[in-house]
Amino acid sequence: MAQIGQFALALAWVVTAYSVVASLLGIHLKHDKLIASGRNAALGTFACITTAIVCLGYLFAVSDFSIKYIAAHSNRDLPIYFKVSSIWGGQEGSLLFWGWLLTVYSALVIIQNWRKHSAMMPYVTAVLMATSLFFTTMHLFAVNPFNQTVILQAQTSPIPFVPADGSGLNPLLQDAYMVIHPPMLYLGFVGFAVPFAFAMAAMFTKQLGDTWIRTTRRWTMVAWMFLSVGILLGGKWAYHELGWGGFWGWDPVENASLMPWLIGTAFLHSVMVQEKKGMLKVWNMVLVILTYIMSIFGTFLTRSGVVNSVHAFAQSPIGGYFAAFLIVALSGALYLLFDRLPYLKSENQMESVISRESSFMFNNLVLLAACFAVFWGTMFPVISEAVKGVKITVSAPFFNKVNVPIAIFLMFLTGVGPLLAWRKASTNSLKRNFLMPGVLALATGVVLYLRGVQHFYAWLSLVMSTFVTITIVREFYKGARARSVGTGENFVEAVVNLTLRNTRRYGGYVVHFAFVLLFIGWSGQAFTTDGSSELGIGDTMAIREYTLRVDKLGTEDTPNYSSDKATVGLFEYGKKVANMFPERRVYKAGQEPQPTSEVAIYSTAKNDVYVVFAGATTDGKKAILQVFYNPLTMWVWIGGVVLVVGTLIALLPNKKTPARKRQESESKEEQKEIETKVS
Amino acid sequence: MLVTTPLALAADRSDRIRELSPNFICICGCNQLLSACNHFHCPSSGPMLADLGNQIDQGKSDNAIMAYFVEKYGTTVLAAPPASGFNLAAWIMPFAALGIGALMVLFFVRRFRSRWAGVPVDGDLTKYQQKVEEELEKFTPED
Repeated sequence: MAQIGQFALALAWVVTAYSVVASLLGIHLKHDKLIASGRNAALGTFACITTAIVCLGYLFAVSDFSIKYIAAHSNRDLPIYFKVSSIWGGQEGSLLFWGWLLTVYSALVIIQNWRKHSAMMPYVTAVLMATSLFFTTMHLFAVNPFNQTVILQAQTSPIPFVPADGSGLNPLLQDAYMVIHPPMLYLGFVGFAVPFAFAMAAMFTKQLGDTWIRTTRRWTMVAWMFLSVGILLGGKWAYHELGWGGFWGWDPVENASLMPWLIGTAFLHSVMVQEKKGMLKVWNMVLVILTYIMSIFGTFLTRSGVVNSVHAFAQSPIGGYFAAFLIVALSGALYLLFDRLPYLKSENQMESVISRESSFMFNNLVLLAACFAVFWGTMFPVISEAVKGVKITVSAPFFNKVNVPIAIFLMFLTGVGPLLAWRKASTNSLKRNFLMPGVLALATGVVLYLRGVQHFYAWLSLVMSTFVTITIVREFYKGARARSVGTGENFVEAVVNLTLRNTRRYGGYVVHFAFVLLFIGWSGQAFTTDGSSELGIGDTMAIREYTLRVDKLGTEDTPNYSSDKATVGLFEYGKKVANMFPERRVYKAGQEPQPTSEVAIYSTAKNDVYVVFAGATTDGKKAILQVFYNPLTMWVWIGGVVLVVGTLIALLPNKKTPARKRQESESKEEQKEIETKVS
Repeated sequence: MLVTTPLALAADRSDRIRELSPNFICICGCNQLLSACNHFHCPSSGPMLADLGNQIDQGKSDNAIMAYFVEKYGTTVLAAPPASGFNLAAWIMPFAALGIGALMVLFFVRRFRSRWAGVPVDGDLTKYQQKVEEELEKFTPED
């Protein structure tokens, strides 16, 4: 099976290279059959990489430890679902998975758009396959997942070797969220290749109107949604698995996923200005190029080891490949952009600083500033080491100080944007629109302050959340009321129909509301408290309104791990509300035992009680418990669900009015008549 | 007073540990803040927290404790770069970029506005614009 996988990878490389060459040559020679052949080769790449990944999955399932990657990331007693998720548990497999998803996207894009956009599609195919060729080259020559397990001995060639068992999957990855989080994240990263490919095709063909944006709008939203979900699931995993009580630590890996998300979010907003006003065409090109580059850069950042040390980059087997590809892709795209500048002139002009257009520009500015702050903070240790020769650390305190004010300003703009009219907002409309939300938000601020919310940023974040919520509710209310008066529908029907008639706008508002919920959840982190104690059976400890009592201490032994566990009764104001089962597991695979925490969480809308079994005392009679009281955390996850709902609404096609349907069918009939007469 | 003073001191000590520990990275290799590193049998976080407590007991200022930690564990022990010398760039650049970006947006908008202002405007246009705005306010958005 490994040979089939290896052969599929080699074939994929040849077919992908052929697809790029055939597409470009076909365009140059205006040779339709060559272009079609390039397209078929792209579909062939999908078949080849699918074969390779199925082979890898099979090798994991049967625990074939003659393959180095399998031996390093699996063991016999690993449950089957973790064996499958081990495919993306290490560098070789995760890059293969990245490459495979790219071929899935490519195949879908080709099948959906080949007839509709016949001029652009050969270029789209060439760009997607060029990206695929880069990954296939790495699979084959740098990080091949089908390499054999060998023993290296001095003065002899490597000797093939089959270990009795594998080293096991990293225990931190043996978690349900880790099964789903990487695929979501990669679907997001890879998805941004589609708008990039269409943008490049639009520039090559000089078809620089709205077509490429309208064609890729849904693809971009889908990629953005997956990336958002991937990031949130990563947070959920960290919260459940790492046992430090939080869900976001500004780790370089987290930052790598946040950067393309921030630019992608800016792009999703600024395309609306291009669609509605024919403006910001160059800017949108810059954003789509940066989103794509950041997606690749994020993978480079986490996989090359460059953030640990500038020297790790040179030692990494993939650092050079990524750096070369990034330079070629960025310089190629920017050259094309400069060459096409005369075709990217704005169709309209900005009329006022106080307008919807300029609010989008400020929104873009703030999102890019946030991205730059994350990029700068993540790369500053590397810069410091390269310039001054001094290694430093840039961690959560830096990112929080820099990004929290930027994020709150962004929240403010989220509320302001919908209140401003396109072109120019008059003073009267400003007063009318801002007065009520502003006064209510400030009143909420006073109440919050008096009730003890005196952490400045948390207070400001909650005030802004209130402001944005009121503006969103007001938008729905205004629209639904007008509709209700006009059509006689009841209010709920009017809200539903209003949303279905302009899914993108109202879906967008739902997504904005999701961010309100996320901000509420994040604000709660300012009020986290924790405590720890050594507790024997029957002992208690208190944290805020809760009391925890250790009822039982025990052990468990499974083939995969052994564990110390406690049964802890949780009492709220003296009344029992839950039994919690925190664990300390020690995984057996590998040469050294690998301990991890399995935290127990009691979650309500008001707060989480988060219990970590930090270990047992040396006599084994007491458990060392660390307990966190995390206010409002549940709203982060609810916000994630609302975000998905909002994006799905925005992805729906608009429901047409009967008049518009009639108009469309009439114009179709007219078109048919003209075609009949012409023929 | 005699009874409460030691308790108040103990509370003050633990408050300072709580405040200061997020400024340091645990050196065990987990890359977590000293306040957050709680992994099993961590060889570093316990001694580092004890060290921090000792420094507080000696009555040292926050800056003096930070200097002591840098001297003992190296510059990588600080969770954020100090805002001085070359490291000042880390703190300034994001806000400088935001400021420069804001100026560029304003410049962009004003440049187009001034071009637009050069176009002769019909005297009645403002009146009609106001009317359009009023109509748009009542409009059911279904575009």
